[in-house]
Amino acid sequence: MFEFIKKNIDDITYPVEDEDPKLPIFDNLQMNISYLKSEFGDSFDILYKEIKVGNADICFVMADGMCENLLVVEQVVKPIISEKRLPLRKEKLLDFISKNVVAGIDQQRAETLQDAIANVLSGLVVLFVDGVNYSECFGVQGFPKRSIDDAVAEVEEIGSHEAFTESFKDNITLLRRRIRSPVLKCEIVECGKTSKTRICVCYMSDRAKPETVNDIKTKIKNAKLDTVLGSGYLRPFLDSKRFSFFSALGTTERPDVACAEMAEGRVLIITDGTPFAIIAPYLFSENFQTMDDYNYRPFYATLIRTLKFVSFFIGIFLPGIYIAICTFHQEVIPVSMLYDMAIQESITPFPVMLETVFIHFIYEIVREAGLRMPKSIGQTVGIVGAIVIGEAAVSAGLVAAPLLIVVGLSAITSFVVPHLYQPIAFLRFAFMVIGGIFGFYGIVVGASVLLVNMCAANPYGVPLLSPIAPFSLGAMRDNFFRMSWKKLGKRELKIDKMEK
Amino acid sequence: MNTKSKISTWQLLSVLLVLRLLSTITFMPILDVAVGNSDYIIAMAIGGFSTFIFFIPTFLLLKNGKGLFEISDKVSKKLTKIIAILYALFFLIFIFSALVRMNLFVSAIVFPQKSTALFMVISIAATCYAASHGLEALGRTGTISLFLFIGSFIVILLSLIERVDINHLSPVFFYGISPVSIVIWSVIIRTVEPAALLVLLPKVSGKTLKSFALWIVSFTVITTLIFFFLMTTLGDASLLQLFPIHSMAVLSRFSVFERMDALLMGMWIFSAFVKVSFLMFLVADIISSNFKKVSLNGAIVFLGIINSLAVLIESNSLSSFKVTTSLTVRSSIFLAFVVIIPMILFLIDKFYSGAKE
Repeated sequence: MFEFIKKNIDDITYPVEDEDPKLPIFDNLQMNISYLKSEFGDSFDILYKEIKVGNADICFVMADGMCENLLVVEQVVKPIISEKRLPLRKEKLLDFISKNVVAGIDQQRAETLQDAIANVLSGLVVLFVDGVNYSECFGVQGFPKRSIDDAVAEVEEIGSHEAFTESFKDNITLLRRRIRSPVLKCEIVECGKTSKTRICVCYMSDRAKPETVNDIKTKIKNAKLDTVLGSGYLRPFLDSKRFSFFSALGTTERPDVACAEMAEGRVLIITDGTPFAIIAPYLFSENFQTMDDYNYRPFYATLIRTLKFVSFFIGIFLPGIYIAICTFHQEVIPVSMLYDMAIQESITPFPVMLETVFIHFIYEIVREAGLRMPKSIGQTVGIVGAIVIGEAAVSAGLVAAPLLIVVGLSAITSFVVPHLYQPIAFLRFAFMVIGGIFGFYGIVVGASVLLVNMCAANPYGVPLLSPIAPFSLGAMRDNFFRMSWKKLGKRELKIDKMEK
Repeated sequence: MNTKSKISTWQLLSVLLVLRLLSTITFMPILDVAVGNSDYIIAMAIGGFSTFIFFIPTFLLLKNGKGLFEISDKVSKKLTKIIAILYALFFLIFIFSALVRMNLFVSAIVFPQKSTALFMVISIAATCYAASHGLEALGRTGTISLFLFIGSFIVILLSLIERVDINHLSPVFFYGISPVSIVIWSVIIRTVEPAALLVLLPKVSGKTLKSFALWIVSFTVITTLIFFFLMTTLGDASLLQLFPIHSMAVLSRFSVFERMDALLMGMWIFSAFVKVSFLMFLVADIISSNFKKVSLNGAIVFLGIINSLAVLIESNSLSSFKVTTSLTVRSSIFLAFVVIIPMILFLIDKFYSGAKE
């Protein structure tokens, strides 16, 4: 059986192998061009411009659309052609050009053909000179990109509205604007055998643990991936080794949140092409914190946080507990309420568990449809789902009205903590089934297993549940409660102090 | 013993306090003696504080800072293996006892009309999963469960305040002092949790001596308080119930909630889960540390199977339950594993230290 499955998987997939050895650049221009052409094939967007400068043949190679054409001409090609002091010796030509002719600051030398190709594909103009066994690459990138826009997934009332974009250089700029200190380090690591995606590891060198930074960089380097098209590709490699329902990594699209996390000693992982940064390590309680909490007055922020914790529990457990009570433990409901509920339930044809799972299933379909549709149609889908299907189902006697309240409440509460929507949705279904089969007893055992699972998570040496377990009184100042900035500002919290 | 993963004294004692409090809330008036209800409150207080005397060997070993197996290793590896087997069996008895009591609770209170075999097997599988996560995870779970336990009990006790009536209490020592002394003794011999502290001592970091004294005071105060509420709300009727604390929770009422026993039931199951998981880990750790061929997870799976079979076989009879609650059996176990063996090992350690000097 397993052999059959393995064979089937082998048939449709291929193993991602380690990178091929790098080939040094030839000192023959035509050989270099032939190699590049054989690698790029018939790609129309790779441009080759061969010219003669002095007594040397040179060739510019660039990817059309990745470079700013005007800059290429003004900053690279024109100065080289019009330069009158070019040395006669071919070997010195390229060195002279890079040092004395081209004005741009972003320059790098490639000594292998693979590096040259990577630079071409990154939007640099690569210059080959006949008789020279290296190439110079000039940064004149200029590709179409989205401008910095409002945050969509983490909307704030009072805080900044800026969000990350797909361009990771813009993202770094957003960080640098907020932390104007040399301790903010941004290191590039490449990942993806084919995509060669640039991953930027950002941290504050005086706060982040060097072991954590190195661990993250090693994990990214060792990730066996062919293409990396989003930060989600890296998550399994960076997350806890042992399965946990709640991730030990956070995500944010907000540069202010990212800076606040780095200020506590965390590491930020920005993937080129993704407007969300990964935060590592991430505590469970941070899912309940937003930037607005720190802009609100402390008592209101504390109230909001308490509501979020309550919502989280309602989102996961309410439907399961409702099923358990209706099926096994009717004695806990007040008699008057029990009578009404019994009447409502008696007219529906299905058992409570089936009814609840069914309605939740429909809700998830409506939510998914609304999410993937264009915005205007998405709202219509939501209205049709909520009012038409819900109302009609109750009128037709397919579901009981109290159940609809339970489903509605658990659905809304799960959006209060948007970072945890995925585990909440899954666990809600799990506890519905458990509550229907094993009642309250099963729910408690299930919750215990969940708690142990959370307690066991120890990513990068920091327990997921800290500062709750292990308990740290000092860190509670910004957990369930949010103290005033007069108190918070006196001492900065450091993530590595929460170990054990 | 593998001492790589350490937990703080506070975490371990939290787990042990949960274990002790679970024994309190699963209290069953099965002693064959006539005792007035107020005598139970006195017995809880005196019994709790009397443990200070019986835990002298524990205090001495804690002061020394050496675990049982560390000391026995000085004599011979064989002795360590023998003591390891004895303590593994000792804790295994308490796993079985906890499971039998849990089974009784589920079959009598939670699902009176259903077979509980499936529930028990699933629960044991869940505890095996928890045990496989190791001491650190269990320690953290224990800390949270202690908070939840105390919080839940405060809610239950506060909702019972209007039902408290001092007139429910019987005259003190109405049946004489002798029956009360038996209850005191039963309180003492049921406090076996410190044996776990002695076994796990190399894995514990922090001040153990003061914390342990605080642990004794805490469990005595909490237990006495719970019994005070039990006896003043239910009176003599409490001694006629199968699970008196549960009956007390049934009486509690808060706002629209007619009864708060669901809260107690939740805490009961949660604490039992922590207890069985912790003891399961303890036994597996003792076996895997002293018998290198056995892996920790392998031992946990093996224990899970053994316990599942034992519970399934014994679920329809109360013979094992009777054995595990027998005063003679309990007294012997307590004296052997909590008093005599630790005392002997302490003396051995002293002797070896003296010889070295």
